[in-house]
Amino acid sequence: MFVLDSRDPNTTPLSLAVNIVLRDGRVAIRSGGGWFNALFFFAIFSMFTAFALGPGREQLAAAAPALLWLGSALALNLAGVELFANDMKDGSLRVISAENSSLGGYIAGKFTSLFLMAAAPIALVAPIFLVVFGIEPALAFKGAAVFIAGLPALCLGAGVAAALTAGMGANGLLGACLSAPATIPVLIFGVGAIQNVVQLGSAVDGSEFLILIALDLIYLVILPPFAIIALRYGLE
Amino acid sequence: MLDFFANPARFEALSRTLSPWLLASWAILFVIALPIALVFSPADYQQGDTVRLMYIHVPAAWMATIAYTFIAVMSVMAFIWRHPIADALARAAAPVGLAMTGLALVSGAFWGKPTWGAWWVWDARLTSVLVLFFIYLAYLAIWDTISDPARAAKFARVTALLGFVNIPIIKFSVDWWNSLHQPASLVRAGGPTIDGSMLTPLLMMIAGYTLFFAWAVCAGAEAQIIEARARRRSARAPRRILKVDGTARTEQAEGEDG
Repeated sequence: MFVLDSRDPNTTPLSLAVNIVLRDGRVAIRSGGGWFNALFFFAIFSMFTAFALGPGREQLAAAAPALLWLGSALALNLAGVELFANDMKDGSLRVISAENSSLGGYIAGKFTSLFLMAAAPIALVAPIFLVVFGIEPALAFKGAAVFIAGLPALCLGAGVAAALTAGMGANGLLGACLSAPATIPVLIFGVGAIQNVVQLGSAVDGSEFLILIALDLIYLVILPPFAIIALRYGLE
Repeated sequence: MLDFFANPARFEALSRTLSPWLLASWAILFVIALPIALVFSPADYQQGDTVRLMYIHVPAAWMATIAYTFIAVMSVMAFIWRHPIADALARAAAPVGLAMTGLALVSGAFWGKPTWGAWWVWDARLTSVLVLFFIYLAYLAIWDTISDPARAAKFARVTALLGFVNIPIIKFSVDWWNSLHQPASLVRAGGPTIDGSMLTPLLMMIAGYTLFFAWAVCAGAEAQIIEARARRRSARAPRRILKVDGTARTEQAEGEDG
Protein backbone atom coordinates (compact mmCIF):
# COMPACT_ATOMS: atom_id res chain seq x y z
CA MET A 1 0.00 0.00 0.00
CA PHE A 2 2.74 2.45 0.91
CA VAL A 3 5.74 3.12 -1.26
CA LEU A 4 8.75 1.98 0.69
CA ASP A 5 11.08 4.23 -1.26
CA SER A 6 11.07 7.89 -0.29
CA ARG A 7 12.71 8.77 -3.61
CA ASP A 8 9.47 8.04 -5.41
CA PRO A 9 8.22 11.37 -6.80
CA ASN A 10 4.64 10.40 -5.97
CA THR A 11 5.33 10.21 -2.25
CA THR A 12 2.57 11.83 -0.25
CA PRO A 13 3.20 13.26 3.23
CA LEU A 14 1.38 10.30 4.78
CA SER A 15 3.35 7.63 2.96
CA LEU A 16 6.56 9.55 3.70
CA ALA A 17 5.64 9.56 7.39
CA VAL A 18 4.95 5.82 7.34
CA ASN A 19 8.21 5.18 5.50
CA ILE A 20 10.15 7.19 8.04
CA VAL A 21 8.60 5.28 10.94
CA LEU A 22 9.32 1.94 9.26
CA ARG A 23 12.88 2.93 8.43
CA ASP A 24 13.54 4.23 11.95
CA GLY A 25 12.09 1.01 13.33
CA ARG A 26 14.39 -1.09 11.15
CA VAL A 27 17.40 1.02 12.07
CA ALA A 28 16.53 0.81 15.77
CA ILE A 29 16.19 -2.96 15.68
CA ARG A 30 19.23 -3.66 13.47
CA SER A 31 21.51 -1.25 15.31
CA GLY A 32 21.44 -3.59 18.28
CA GLY A 33 18.70 -2.22 20.51
CA GLY A 34 18.32 1.45 19.65
CA TRP A 35 14.70 1.19 20.76
CA PHE A 36 15.93 0.05 24.15
CA ASN A 37 18.01 3.16 24.99
CA ALA A 38 15.28 5.35 26.50
CA LEU A 39 13.75 2.48 28.44
CA PHE A 40 17.13 1.42 29.77
CA PHE A 41 17.94 4.97 30.85
CA PHE A 42 14.56 5.13 32.57
CA ALA A 43 15.23 1.86 34.42
CA ILE A 44 18.65 3.05 35.61
CA PHE A 45 17.14 6.37 36.68
CA SER A 46 14.41 4.60 38.70
CA MET A 47 16.96 2.37 40.37
CA PHE A 48 19.20 5.28 41.32
CA THR A 49 16.35 7.33 42.76
CA ALA A 50 15.10 4.34 44.74
CA PHE A 51 18.57 3.96 46.23
CA ALA A 52 18.84 7.69 46.89
CA LEU A 53 15.46 7.92 48.61
CA GLY A 54 15.86 4.76 50.68
CA PRO A 55 13.51 1.79 50.98
CA GLY A 56 10.68 3.53 52.94
CA ARG A 57 7.49 2.52 51.12
CA GLU A 58 5.44 5.61 51.96
CA GLN A 59 8.24 7.91 50.93
CA LEU A 60 8.66 6.10 47.61
CA ALA A 61 4.91 6.04 46.95
CA ALA A 62 4.68 9.77 47.57
CA ALA A 63 7.53 10.46 45.13
CA ALA A 64 6.44 7.88 42.51
CA PRO A 65 4.33 10.15 40.21
CA ALA A 66 7.04 12.82 40.14
CA LEU A 67 9.80 10.27 39.49
CA LEU A 68 7.81 8.65 36.68
CA TRP A 69 7.49 11.97 34.85
CA LEU A 70 11.01 13.09 35.62
CA GLY A 71 12.59 9.85 34.43
CA SER A 72 10.59 9.80 31.20
CA ALA A 73 11.22 13.51 30.49
CA LEU A 74 14.97 12.95 30.81
CA ALA A 75 14.86 9.70 28.83
CA LEU A 76 12.91 11.34 25.98
CA ASN A 77 15.33 14.26 25.85
CA LEU A 78 18.16 11.78 25.63
CA ALA A 79 16.43 9.80 22.89
CA GLY A 80 15.66 13.04 21.05
CA VAL A 81 19.34 13.92 20.69
CA GLU A 82 19.75 11.30 17.95
CA LEU A 83 16.35 11.83 16.36
CA PHE A 84 17.34 14.29 13.63
CA ALA A 85 21.10 14.53 14.09
CA ASN A 86 21.89 11.35 12.12
CA ASP A 87 19.64 12.26 9.18
CA MET A 88 21.28 15.68 9.16
CA LYS A 89 24.79 14.24 9.22
CA ASP A 90 24.46 11.49 6.62
CA GLY A 91 22.60 13.68 4.13
CA SER A 92 19.35 11.71 4.04
CA LEU A 93 17.43 14.76 5.28
CA ARG A 94 18.79 16.78 2.38
CA VAL A 95 17.58 14.13 -0.06
CA ILE A 96 14.16 13.98 1.56
CA SER A 97 13.74 17.74 1.62
CA ALA A 98 14.85 18.03 -2.00
CA GLU A 99 12.12 15.64 -3.13
CA ASN A 100 9.29 16.79 -0.92
CA SER A 101 7.86 20.26 -1.04
CA SER A 102 7.13 20.14 2.69
CA LEU A 103 8.89 18.45 5.54
CA GLY A 104 5.51 17.90 7.27
CA GLY A 105 5.37 14.18 6.53
CA TYR A 106 8.97 13.72 7.61
CA ILE A 107 8.37 15.54 10.92
CA ALA A 108 5.17 13.57 11.54
CA GLY A 109 7.06 10.32 10.97
CA LYS A 110 9.94 11.38 13.21
CA PHE A 111 7.71 12.43 16.09
CA THR A 112 5.77 9.18 15.74
CA SER A 113 8.93 7.12 15.80
CA LEU A 114 10.14 8.97 18.90
CA PHE A 115 6.83 8.12 20.52
CA LEU A 116 6.94 4.45 19.46
CA MET A 117 10.64 3.87 20.04
CA ALA A 118 11.19 5.82 23.27
CA ALA A 119 7.90 6.77 24.94
CA ALA A 120 5.82 3.63 24.32
CA PRO A 121 8.30 1.21 25.98
CA ILE A 122 8.32 3.46 29.07
CA ALA A 123 4.52 3.63 29.01
CA LEU A 124 4.40 -0.19 29.00
CA VAL A 125 6.56 -0.46 32.11
CA ALA A 126 4.86 2.49 33.87
CA PRO A 127 2.38 0.27 35.79
CA ILE A 128 5.24 -1.97 36.97
CA PHE A 129 7.21 1.13 37.97
CA LEU A 130 4.30 2.45 40.04
CA VAL A 131 3.73 -0.95 41.71
CA VAL A 132 7.35 -1.39 42.75
CA PHE A 133 7.28 2.15 44.11
CA GLY A 134 4.48 1.15 46.46
CA ILE A 135 1.25 2.01 44.60
CA GLU A 136 -1.66 -0.47 44.66
CA PRO A 137 -1.83 -2.41 41.33
CA ALA A 138 -5.39 -1.31 40.50
CA LEU A 139 -4.46 2.33 41.00
CA ALA A 140 -1.14 1.85 39.21
CA PHE A 141 -2.94 0.96 35.97
CA LYS A 142 -5.11 4.07 36.23
CA GLY A 143 -2.02 6.13 36.93
CA ALA A 144 -0.27 4.67 33.89
CA ALA A 145 -3.31 5.53 31.75
CA VAL A 146 -3.02 9.16 32.86
CA PHE A 147 0.73 9.02 32.17
CA ILE A 148 0.16 7.92 28.57
CA ALA A 149 -2.11 10.95 28.05
CA GLY A 150 0.80 13.31 28.74
CA LEU A 151 3.48 11.46 26.76
CA PRO A 152 2.73 12.96 23.32
CA ALA A 153 3.31 16.45 24.75
CA LEU A 154 6.65 15.34 26.22
CA CYS A 155 7.68 13.79 22.88
CA LEU A 156 6.74 16.95 20.98
CA GLY A 157 8.71 19.13 23.38
CA ALA A 158 11.79 16.91 23.24
CA GLY A 159 11.44 16.50 19.46
CA VAL A 160 11.30 20.19 18.62
CA ALA A 161 14.33 20.87 20.81
CA ALA A 162 16.11 18.01 19.02
CA ALA A 163 15.25 19.57 15.63
CA LEU A 164 16.68 22.89 16.74
CA THR A 165 19.94 21.43 18.05
CA ALA A 166 20.31 19.18 14.99
CA GLY A 167 19.74 22.16 12.69
CA MET A 168 22.30 24.21 14.54
CA GLY A 169 24.73 21.36 14.87
CA ALA A 170 24.79 22.06 18.59
CA ASN A 171 25.01 19.46 21.33
CA GLY A 172 22.25 17.94 23.44
CA LEU A 173 22.83 20.14 26.47
CA LEU A 174 21.29 23.10 24.68
CA GLY A 175 18.40 20.82 23.68
CA ALA A 176 17.51 20.10 27.29
CA CYS A 177 17.44 23.84 27.90
CA LEU A 178 15.29 24.52 24.83
CA SER A 179 12.72 21.86 25.66
CA ALA A 180 12.33 23.16 29.23
CA PRO A 181 9.47 25.63 28.59
CA ALA A 182 7.47 22.90 26.87
CA THR A 183 8.35 20.23 29.43
CA ILE A 184 7.65 22.09 32.67
CA PRO A 185 3.85 22.50 32.23
CA VAL A 186 3.62 18.77 31.41
CA LEU A 187 5.53 17.92 34.57
CA ILE A 188 3.40 20.20 36.76
CA PHE A 189 0.03 19.00 35.46
CA GLY A 190 1.17 15.43 34.84
CA VAL A 191 2.35 14.91 38.40
CA GLY A 192 -0.86 16.50 39.70
CA ALA A 193 -3.03 14.29 37.50
CA ILE A 194 -1.31 11.05 38.57
CA GLN A 195 -1.36 12.10 42.22
CA ASN A 196 -5.12 12.66 41.98
CA VAL A 197 -5.54 9.08 40.79
CA VAL A 198 -3.05 7.13 42.88
CA GLN A 199 -3.12 9.06 46.14
CA LEU A 200 -6.66 10.39 46.28
CA GLY A 201 -8.04 7.37 44.40
CA SER A 202 -10.29 9.49 42.21
CA ALA A 203 -11.41 8.50 38.71
CA VAL A 204 -9.32 9.28 35.63
CA ASP A 205 -10.60 12.79 35.03
CA GLY A 206 -10.37 16.16 36.71
CA SER A 207 -8.97 19.44 35.50
CA GLU A 208 -5.31 18.40 35.59
CA PHE A 209 -5.96 15.41 33.35
CA LEU A 210 -7.89 17.59 30.92
CA ILE A 211 -5.14 20.22 30.89
CA LEU A 212 -2.66 17.44 30.11
CA ILE A 213 -4.67 16.50 27.03
CA ALA A 214 -5.02 20.19 26.15
CA LEU A 215 -1.22 20.46 26.27
CA ASP A 216 -0.96 17.53 23.81
CA LEU A 217 -3.24 19.31 21.38
CA ILE A 218 -1.64 22.76 21.81
CA TYR A 219 1.86 21.35 21.29
CA LEU A 220 0.67 19.35 18.29
CA VAL A 221 -0.41 22.60 16.64
CA ILE A 222 2.39 24.91 17.77
CA LEU A 223 5.60 22.90 17.89
CA PRO A 224 5.96 20.93 14.59
CA PRO A 225 6.25 24.13 12.46
CA PHE A 226 9.18 25.21 14.65
CA ALA A 227 10.84 21.85 14.03
CA ILE A 228 10.34 22.19 10.27
CA ILE A 229 11.72 25.75 10.21
CA ALA A 230 14.73 24.72 12.31
CA LEU A 231 15.55 21.78 10.00
CA ARG A 232 15.13 23.93 6.88
CA TYR A 233 17.50 26.52 8.36
CA GLY A 234 19.90 23.72 9.17
CA LEU A 235 19.90 22.59 5.53
CA GLU A 236 20.62 26.05 4.12
CA MET B 1 7.72 53.17 9.23
CA LEU B 2 9.14 49.66 9.16
CA ASP B 3 10.77 50.25 5.80
CA PHE B 4 12.15 53.57 6.92
CA PHE B 5 14.30 52.05 9.65
CA ALA B 6 15.30 49.04 7.55
CA ASN B 7 18.32 51.10 6.52
CA PRO B 8 21.03 50.42 9.15
CA ALA B 9 22.65 53.83 8.61
CA ARG B 10 19.33 55.57 9.20
CA PHE B 11 18.70 53.58 12.36
CA GLU B 12 22.21 54.31 13.53
CA ALA B 13 21.68 58.05 13.05
CA LEU B 14 18.42 57.92 14.98
CA SER B 15 19.97 55.86 17.73
CA ARG B 16 22.88 58.27 18.04
CA THR B 17 20.54 61.21 18.60
CA LEU B 18 18.18 59.27 20.85
CA SER B 19 20.69 57.47 23.09
CA PRO B 20 21.99 60.47 25.08
CA TRP B 21 18.43 61.63 25.76
CA LEU B 22 17.36 58.19 26.92
CA LEU B 23 20.40 57.86 29.14
CA ALA B 24 19.98 61.35 30.59
CA SER B 25 16.28 60.92 31.32
CA TRP B 26 17.01 57.56 32.97
CA ALA B 27 19.68 59.18 35.17
CA ILE B 28 17.46 62.12 36.14
CA LEU B 29 14.51 59.84 36.90
CA PHE B 30 16.66 57.56 39.05
CA VAL B 31 18.18 60.48 40.98
CA ILE B 32 14.65 61.60 41.86
CA ALA B 33 12.98 58.20 42.26
CA LEU B 34 15.61 56.31 44.25
CA PRO B 35 15.54 58.55 47.37
CA ILE B 36 11.73 58.65 47.28
CA ALA B 37 11.50 54.87 46.94
CA LEU B 38 14.24 53.86 49.35
CA VAL B 39 13.94 56.63 52.00
CA PHE B 40 10.90 58.89 51.84
CA SER B 41 8.11 56.51 50.83
CA PRO B 42 6.13 55.04 53.76
CA ALA B 43 7.17 51.71 55.28
CA ASP B 44 4.64 48.88 55.07
CA TYR B 45 2.54 48.30 58.20
CA GLN B 46 3.30 44.58 58.06
CA GLN B 47 6.64 44.28 56.31
CA GLY B 48 8.30 47.46 57.61
CA ASP B 49 11.26 48.64 55.58
CA THR B 50 11.59 45.31 53.73
CA VAL B 51 8.85 46.53 51.42
CA ARG B 52 11.41 48.85 49.83
CA LEU B 53 12.80 45.81 48.02
CA MET B 54 9.64 46.09 45.93
CA TYR B 55 11.07 49.15 44.14
CA ILE B 56 14.02 47.08 42.95
CA HIS B 57 12.32 43.72 42.51
CA VAL B 58 9.06 44.56 40.74
CA PRO B 59 10.60 46.73 37.98
CA ALA B 60 13.31 44.10 37.41
CA ALA B 61 10.74 41.33 37.05
CA TRP B 62 8.66 43.59 34.80
CA MET B 63 11.69 44.33 32.61
CA ALA B 64 12.63 40.64 32.49
CA THR B 65 9.32 39.70 30.89
CA ILE B 66 9.00 42.85 28.77
CA ALA B 67 12.51 42.36 27.39
CA TYR B 68 11.65 38.82 26.38
CA THR B 69 8.38 39.92 24.80
CA PHE B 70 10.38 42.56 22.92
CA ILE B 71 12.79 39.87 21.70
CA ALA B 72 9.86 37.72 20.55
CA VAL B 73 8.19 40.63 18.70
CA MET B 74 11.49 41.54 17.03
CA SER B 75 11.98 37.89 16.07
CA VAL B 76 8.54 37.84 14.43
CA MET B 77 9.43 41.00 12.51
CA ALA B 78 12.74 39.51 11.43
CA PHE B 79 11.00 36.28 10.50
CA ILE B 80 8.14 37.76 8.47
CA TRP B 81 9.64 40.91 6.95
CA ARG B 82 13.33 39.94 7.10
CA HIS B 83 13.80 43.27 8.83
CA PRO B 84 17.57 43.79 9.11
CA ILE B 85 17.50 45.81 12.34
CA ALA B 86 15.05 43.53 14.18
CA ASP B 87 17.64 40.79 14.81
CA ALA B 88 20.14 43.33 16.10
CA LEU B 89 17.55 44.83 18.46
CA ALA B 90 16.55 41.39 19.74
CA ARG B 91 20.14 40.42 20.34
CA ALA B 92 20.83 43.70 22.13
CA ALA B 93 17.85 43.17 24.43
CA ALA B 94 18.92 39.69 25.56
CA PRO B 95 21.81 40.56 27.92
CA VAL B 96 19.68 43.25 29.58
CA GLY B 97 16.83 40.79 29.97
CA LEU B 98 19.19 38.19 31.42
CA ALA B 99 20.56 40.71 33.93
CA MET B 100 17.06 41.84 34.90
CA THR B 101 15.92 38.24 35.38
CA GLY B 102 18.95 37.63 37.57
CA LEU B 103 18.24 40.80 39.55
CA ALA B 104 14.59 39.79 40.00
CA LEU B 105 15.62 36.34 41.24
CA VAL B 106 18.29 37.62 43.64
CA SER B 107 16.23 40.54 45.02
CA GLY B 108 13.31 38.15 45.32
CA ALA B 109 15.45 35.81 47.40
CA PHE B 110 16.40 38.68 49.72
CA TRP B 111 12.73 39.61 49.98
CA GLY B 112 11.60 36.02 50.44
CA LYS B 113 13.86 35.35 53.42
CA PRO B 114 12.27 37.90 55.80
CA THR B 115 8.68 37.56 54.51
CA TRP B 116 8.29 33.86 53.67
CA GLY B 117 11.12 32.55 55.82
CA ALA B 118 12.92 30.97 52.86
CA TRP B 119 15.42 32.20 50.28
CA TRP B 120 13.90 30.07 47.60
CA VAL B 121 10.73 28.01 47.14
CA TRP B 122 9.98 25.81 44.15
CA ASP B 123 6.64 27.30 43.32
CA ALA B 124 5.26 28.06 39.88
CA ARG B 125 6.17 31.76 39.67
CA LEU B 126 9.74 31.38 40.89
CA THR B 127 10.36 28.27 38.82
CA SER B 128 8.96 29.76 35.61
CA VAL B 129 11.16 32.85 36.07
CA LEU B 130 14.16 30.57 36.60
CA VAL B 131 13.24 28.87 33.31
CA LEU B 132 13.19 32.33 31.70
CA PHE B 133 16.73 32.83 32.98
CA PHE B 134 17.85 29.63 31.27
CA ILE B 135 16.02 30.54 28.06
CA TYR B 136 17.92 33.83 27.97
CA LEU B 137 21.14 31.87 28.44
CA ALA B 138 20.21 29.48 25.61
CA TYR B 139 19.29 32.40 23.35
CA LEU B 140 22.61 34.14 23.99
CA ALA B 141 24.47 30.84 23.64
CA ILE B 142 23.09 30.47 20.11
CA TRP B 143 24.43 33.86 19.09
CA ASP B 144 27.81 32.94 20.51
CA THR B 145 28.15 29.34 19.31
CA ILE B 146 27.23 29.92 15.65
CA SER B 147 29.98 32.02 14.14
CA ASP B 148 28.11 33.23 11.05
CA PRO B 149 25.82 36.04 12.33
CA ALA B 150 23.21 35.57 9.59
CA ARG B 151 22.89 31.87 10.41
CA ALA B 152 22.90 32.50 14.16
CA ALA B 153 20.10 35.04 13.71
CA LYS B 154 17.86 32.41 12.11
CA PHE B 155 18.16 29.92 14.94
CA ALA B 156 17.98 32.66 17.53
CA ARG B 157 14.63 33.73 16.07
CA VAL B 158 13.18 30.23 16.25
CA THR B 159 14.45 29.78 19.81
CA ALA B 160 13.09 33.16 20.91
CA LEU B 161 9.62 32.31 19.61
CA LEU B 162 9.71 28.82 21.08
CA GLY B 163 10.68 30.23 24.47
CA PHE B 164 7.85 32.74 24.35
CA VAL B 165 5.53 29.94 25.51
CA ASN B 166 7.03 30.61 28.93
CA ILE B 167 5.87 34.24 29.17
CA PRO B 168 2.12 33.56 29.62
CA ILE B 169 3.10 30.81 32.08
CA ILE B 170 5.00 33.39 34.16
CA LYS B 171 2.17 35.91 33.98
CA PHE B 172 -0.57 33.51 34.98
CA SER B 173 1.44 31.21 37.25
CA VAL B 174 0.15 33.02 40.34
CA ASP B 175 -3.46 32.50 39.21
CA TRP B 176 -3.24 28.91 37.93
CA TRP B 177 -1.37 27.38 40.84
CA ASN B 178 -1.30 27.86 44.57
CA SER B 179 1.68 30.08 45.02
CA LEU B 180 3.42 31.83 47.86
CA HIS B 181 4.05 34.65 45.47
CA GLN B 182 1.34 37.29 45.64
CA PRO B 183 -1.05 37.68 42.69
CA ALA B 184 -0.85 40.63 40.32
CA SER B 185 -1.44 43.95 42.05
CA LEU B 186 -0.42 46.37 39.30
CA VAL B 187 -1.62 45.18 35.92
CA ARG B 188 -4.97 43.64 36.76
CA ALA B 189 -8.65 44.07 35.94
CA GLY B 190 -10.07 46.67 38.34
CA GLY B 191 -6.91 48.77 38.66
CA PRO B 192 -3.87 48.58 40.91
CA THR B 193 -4.29 47.60 44.56
CA ILE B 194 -1.30 49.57 45.82
CA ASP B 195 -1.72 52.83 47.74
CA GLY B 196 -0.78 56.00 45.86
CA SER B 197 2.11 56.80 48.20
CA MET B 198 3.83 53.59 47.12
CA LEU B 199 2.43 53.42 43.58
CA THR B 200 4.01 56.71 42.46
CA PRO B 201 7.64 55.79 43.31
CA LEU B 202 7.06 52.27 41.96
CA LEU B 203 5.83 53.60 38.63
CA MET B 204 8.79 56.03 38.52
CA MET B 205 11.17 53.13 39.07
CA ILE B 206 9.46 51.08 36.35
CA ALA B 207 9.72 54.04 33.97
CA GLY B 208 13.40 54.39 34.90
CA TYR B 209 14.18 50.73 34.25
CA THR B 210 12.32 50.94 30.93
CA LEU B 211 14.31 54.00 29.82
CA PHE B 212 17.53 52.21 30.72
CA PHE B 213 16.38 49.20 28.70
CA ALA B 214 15.57 51.43 25.72
CA TRP B 215 19.03 53.01 25.91
CA ALA B 216 20.79 49.65 26.24
CA VAL B 217 18.91 48.22 23.27
CA CYS B 218 19.68 51.23 21.07
CA ALA B 219 23.34 51.21 22.06
CA GLY B 220 23.62 47.44 21.61
CA ALA B 221 22.01 47.48 18.17
CA GLU B 222 24.19 50.42 17.16
CA ALA B 223 27.30 48.51 18.20
CA GLN B 224 26.22 45.52 16.12
CA ILE B 225 25.64 47.69 13.05
CA ILE B 226 29.10 49.20 13.44
CA GLU B 227 30.60 45.74 13.96
CA ALA B 228 28.91 44.38 10.83
CA ARG B 229 30.24 47.32 8.82
CA ALA B 230 33.74 46.74 10.16
CA ARG B 231 33.46 43.07 9.18
CA ARG B 232 32.40 43.95 5.67
CA ARG B 233 35.22 46.46 5.32
CA SER B 234 37.88 44.04 6.47
CA ALA B 235 36.51 41.44 4.07
CA ARG B 236 36.77 43.94 1.20
CA ALA B 237 40.11 45.40 2.17
CA PRO B 238 43.15 44.44 0.12
CA ARG B 239 45.14 41.74 1.84
CA ARG B 240 48.92 41.53 1.95
CA ILE B 241 49.94 37.97 1.31
CA LEU B 242 53.46 36.83 2.22
CA LYS B 243 54.71 34.43 -0.38
CA VAL B 244 57.10 31.55 0.28
CA ASP B 245 60.09 33.36 -1.21
CA GLY B 246 59.66 36.21 1.28
CA THR B 247 58.19 38.80 -1.09
CA ALA B 248 54.80 40.25 -0.29
CA ARG B 249 52.01 40.96 -2.75
CA THR B 250 48.75 42.75 -2.26
CA GLU B 251 45.56 41.07 -3.35
CA GLN B 252 41.99 42.23 -3.56
CA ALA B 253 40.00 39.84 -1.40
CA GLU B 254 36.71 38.57 -2.72
CA GLY B 255 34.62 39.83 0.15
CA GLU B 256 30.88 40.11 0.26
CA ASP B 257 29.44 43.19 -1.28
CA GLY B 258 28.82 45.98 1.15
